[in-house]
Amino acid sequence: MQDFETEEQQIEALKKWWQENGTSLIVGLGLGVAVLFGGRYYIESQQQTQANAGDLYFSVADSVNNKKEEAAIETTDRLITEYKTTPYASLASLLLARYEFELNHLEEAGKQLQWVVDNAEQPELQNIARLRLARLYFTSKDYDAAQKLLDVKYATAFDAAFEELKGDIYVATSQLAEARLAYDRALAAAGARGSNFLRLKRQDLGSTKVDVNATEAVAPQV
Amino acid sequence: MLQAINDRIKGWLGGFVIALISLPFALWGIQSYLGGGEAPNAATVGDAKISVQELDNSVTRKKQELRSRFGDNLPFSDAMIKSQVLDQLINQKLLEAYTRDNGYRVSDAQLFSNIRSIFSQNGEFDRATFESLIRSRNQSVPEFEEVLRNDIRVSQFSTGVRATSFVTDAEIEQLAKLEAQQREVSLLKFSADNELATITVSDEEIQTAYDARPDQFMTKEQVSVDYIELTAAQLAKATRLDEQKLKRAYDDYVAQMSQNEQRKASHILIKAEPDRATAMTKIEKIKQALAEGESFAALAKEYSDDTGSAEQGGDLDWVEHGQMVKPFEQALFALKKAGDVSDVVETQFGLHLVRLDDVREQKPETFAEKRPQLEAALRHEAVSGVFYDQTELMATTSYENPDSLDITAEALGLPIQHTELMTRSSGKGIAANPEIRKAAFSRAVLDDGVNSDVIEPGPDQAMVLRVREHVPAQRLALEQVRATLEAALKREKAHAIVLAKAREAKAKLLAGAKASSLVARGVILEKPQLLKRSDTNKIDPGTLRRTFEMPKPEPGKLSVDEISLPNADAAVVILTQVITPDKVEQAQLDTIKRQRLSELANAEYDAALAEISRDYEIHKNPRALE
Repeated sequence: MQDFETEEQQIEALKKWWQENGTSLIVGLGLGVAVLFGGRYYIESQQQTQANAGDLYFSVADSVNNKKEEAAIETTDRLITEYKTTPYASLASLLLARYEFELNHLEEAGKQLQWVVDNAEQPELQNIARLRLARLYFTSKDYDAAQKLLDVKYATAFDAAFEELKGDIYVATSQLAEARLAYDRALAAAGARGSNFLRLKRQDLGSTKVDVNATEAVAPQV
Repeated sequence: MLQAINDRIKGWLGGFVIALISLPFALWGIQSYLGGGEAPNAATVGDAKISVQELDNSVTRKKQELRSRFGDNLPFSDAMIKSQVLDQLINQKLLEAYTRDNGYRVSDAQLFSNIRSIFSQNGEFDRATFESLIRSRNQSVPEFEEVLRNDIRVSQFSTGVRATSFVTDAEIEQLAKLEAQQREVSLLKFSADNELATITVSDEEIQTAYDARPDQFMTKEQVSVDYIELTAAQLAKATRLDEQKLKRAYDDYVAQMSQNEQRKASHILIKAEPDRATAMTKIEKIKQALAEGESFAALAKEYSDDTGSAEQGGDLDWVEHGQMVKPFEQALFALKKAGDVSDVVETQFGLHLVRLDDVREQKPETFAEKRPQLEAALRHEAVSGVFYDQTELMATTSYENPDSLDITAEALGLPIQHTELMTRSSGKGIAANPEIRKAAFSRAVLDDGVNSDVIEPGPDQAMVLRVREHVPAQRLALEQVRATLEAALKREKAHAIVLAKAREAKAKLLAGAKASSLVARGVILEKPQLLKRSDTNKIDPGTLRRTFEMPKPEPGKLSVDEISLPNADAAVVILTQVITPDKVEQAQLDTIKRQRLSELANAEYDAALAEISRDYEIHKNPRALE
């Protein structure tokens, strides 16, 4: 900073600086404030959308609980079209799918699940819908469609569930060697939490044997 | 220049600039005050923390819950419970973060309807319960609402996944049939005992086997300890009681008993609204009628404005202190004997005539009768403070003089006692208590050789201990185990022989030999039996399992396999037929449907949770689980 001789000179310099930079300073400040409030506004309106979707989801659940199919379908449609980016669209679809399944409207149930597979923003909901849809195809003996659905990349967390269903499809199509492998992969992925039914299915195909008694039979005891 | 700034800084712009500049200085470091210092965390999930305190509280709650289900001896170790509870807390935090970041949001309307449904009584919002709960949790209303919002979001996700799964009837039927499957097997058994007579084991083989198992044939580690025991009972004996205090306690007791008196009452009510004077005349008339001998019950029925009791002739049943409004209570308890009727009593309800119908007194015990109980209570009260102080003294003295118990014993005036040798899993005397064995085998006592922490193995009992004698685990000498080892090796050899024989027999059976033709000395053919999966009482579990794992026999053929039996015998399992039922009972189908549905729902949910958890950094503090 240069030295000034008198206070008048200092004031002059400040005034000059203000004339040169004052406008841009004010514009800059104004812009900052606008961005701040704009951002706030955006976030708040997004939160409002999410909360609205949440309310609609509750009303779908209510309709399902009170066995009002039409209302459930209507509200779910609204969620799917107007609130597609919220998780509630997927949750409502999953719920409606179960309800339609219970009413034996398998095709309708399939449609809902397909929507989640195609549109859900959360991969974990997608994977769940994919499994359920494949199970639905499996029930209607459409093994190709079921297989195709499962033939994708998915998170390893879903290994056990996917492989078990693949095993079921192989059994249904008499590919027993593949079925054994798929069940084995499912068992390996599930570890200690593996399902008893999965074990039954695997055993029924003839297990590779482990002689559980052999090691205990002769171990010396002190 | 500073003067100039000072001169010109007045006015709103100047003030604004100053405020702007001073704000950061004013607030600098405030978070360390608000945070109150860092407490240790049991785990972190993303930017959420689970404090050790929170974990401990949840573990305590979980234990209470488990105790109410399983009784005091829980079938789970503390470590298991703790680790499970921590996982639950982590999952909760994980889902709170996930639902927050993925567009789950609870509207105010939703929140309030939730609060209303939790705190509702007879369809009305129960503000008192709501507020007392919040106070008991030490939360503000906004904090409570935030917690509730989190919970609602998390449950939207979890029920949204769990409660939307489904199973088909076809699958259930298939699984039910699979589970109900039966298999017919017969065993061709080869006895190991039959071979033992001809088997010899050389010294060399025994030596080799002994050397090959360096970890086996160990004695258990043992330890004995010196200890000082402090109990409240010891202190109680030494306490002298003040006779006057005892008297006072007895007086309190008597007063308490009279408070417990119950009185059966009837009343006649005349409402004082809107016209008190008329009401007064009316009730005076009733009083007059009573005096003339008319029945109280009849008068109550006719005149009383308390319609509920009027039907019963004014009967209010038993009344305790504190149950009625004050003037009513005073009047009732002032009445001398059953049948007496009070003067007119005025309360907020109107004008009453009160009649005493009966008195249920609880007679206080006499001083002599009550004395032992009062003494015990007073002793306990007097001692608990002393006990606490002495325990503190024990803790500090034994900690400050870690290499001996002498000073602690002297300070407390208690003797040093000692135990016999104990192992980690069992002990005699006080060592029968697992808490004490745990302390005796703790690292501080065993490895560092210092005094233990003060432990409280029972109520009103404190103890400090140090190692007296330590016998480490030792390997038994070969001579001590020779006989055991020799027998085991013989069995091993015998087993190898019978297993080979079984294998041979299997080949013969596959080549077409009849099972009955293979029966010989030491070889028996058991009768065929039909087995269900649950028949663990008919056959050993290993064989049962193998039976259901064997390939199904093709038509006209056998399915056979050799197997070791638990007592070193061997067998050939001959699977003759697999029977799948045509129909399964509905009850069984329902059970399986429930099981399968919950299994699928849990599997999907767990998988989703595992997938979600990859997006957040989760750290567990291993020390929090110790």
